[in-house]
Amino acid sequence: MSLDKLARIIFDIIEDTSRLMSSILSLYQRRILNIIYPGYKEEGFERRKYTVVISEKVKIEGKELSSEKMLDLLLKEPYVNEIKQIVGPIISYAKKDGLCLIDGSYGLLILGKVKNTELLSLYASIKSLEIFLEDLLVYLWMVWEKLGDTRKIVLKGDIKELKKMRVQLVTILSDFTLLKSIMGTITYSLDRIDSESKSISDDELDSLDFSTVFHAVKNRCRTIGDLFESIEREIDGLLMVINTHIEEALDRLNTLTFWLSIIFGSFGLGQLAVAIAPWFMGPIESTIVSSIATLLPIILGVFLHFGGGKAR
Amino acid sequence: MKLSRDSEKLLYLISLYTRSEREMEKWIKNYALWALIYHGIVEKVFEDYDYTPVTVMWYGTLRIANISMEAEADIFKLRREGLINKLRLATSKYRYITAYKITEKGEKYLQNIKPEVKAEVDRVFNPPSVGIPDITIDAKGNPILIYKNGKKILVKILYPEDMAYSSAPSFL
Repeated sequence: MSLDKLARIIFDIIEDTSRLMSSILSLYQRRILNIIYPGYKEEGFERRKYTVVISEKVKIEGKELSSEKMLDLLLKEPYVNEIKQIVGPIISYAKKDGLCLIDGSYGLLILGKVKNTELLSLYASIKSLEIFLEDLLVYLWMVWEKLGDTRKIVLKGDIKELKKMRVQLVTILSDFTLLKSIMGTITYSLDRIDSESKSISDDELDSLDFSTVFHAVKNRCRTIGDLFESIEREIDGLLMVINTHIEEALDRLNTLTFWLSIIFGSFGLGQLAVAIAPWFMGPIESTIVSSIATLLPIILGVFLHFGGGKAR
Repeated sequence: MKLSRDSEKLLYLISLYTRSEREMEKWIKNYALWALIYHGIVEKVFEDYDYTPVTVMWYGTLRIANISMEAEADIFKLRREGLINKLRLATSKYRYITAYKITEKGEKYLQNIKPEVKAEVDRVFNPPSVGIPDITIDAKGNPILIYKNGKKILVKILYPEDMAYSSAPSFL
């Protein structure tokens, strides 16, 4: 099979497996994937995957290559471009005990007869986890950036904007809680991979540098865990600031209602005084009392607005 | 320094889209260039390039696109020879994309290439009395070439071909 055709088949399989997996994933799993890879369910959109290809023989123009010459020839032009179609940009390569390994950013090509595929399967699992954690990290940085913008708006204290921001933060928090829950599963998977890898001793595939990748993934997991905590604290902090702003607004409303009740009360009393004053007083005194009764609530209102309200 | 015929065509194609206009510097983003290269392969502008489906960052999302690895290798060579400049840009979604621009050295190199090399590129990307088409992205992310005479071409770079294969389960 030509490398061109192989590359096309690999990507067809990548697409088909996404469709296949989507039919057996739970709603919870699908939602998690949709957070990290928005639109992945639609045709043409994809999530990154890691591919392992094992080929026992390599032929160039009908002639089979010996394992000694294989790597030297394949890593030169024009063949290297064909290899890149399968594994992506080449990260490393190795030759050991008749096996040639070419590791790329999205795949591994093994040339030769592999006796034990167990470690290979574990390696593919850890590389897939590495890719997923990389994309998760990108998502977390995006959330961090969004929180920075939200913070600027929240500190301005505009009530209308605060309501919008609260809705936005609650949505982020809901996605975030879901994502945080997968860290337990990832830690469990890492522990399993670790214990399974210890039971395998495969010299052939030592050159894959399994333990280095494993520890890098474990460290990344720890970083993501710390980032989860920081973001969670940031969201809590922002929600607290929003709540404080809303409480302050409610407090101002309460103060206003309080003063209005006093003003309207004194206005009512004044009107009563105006009504009964002519029974007990002469016309001049009655006019004075009426004027005071009318002016008093207004003066009180002005005073409370400019002085009393602030004091409270 | 001698470039292959396809490399020269690629350099000329980049120059069409990135020549500075007055004081305005023009760069071409990698996905726009991929689309042009794909269209060039389909229209037989490039002789030795082929394409393969690859997962790439495309307009903010991960998509499968038909990318030419030979062209990618040639872009690397052009960059190494100082004929084009490369700019790495961070997107708002924390992914990286690159942009390219022809250098003065690249412009000088193009003055000495055979006219038929330019003519082959011009046939598709700079037709006489029509000019260089604009490249835009539609709502679904598909690149579209818009010619000044109103002609529009949908570049099907995001449509990888289906392949027939058979599979068998393997329990590890």
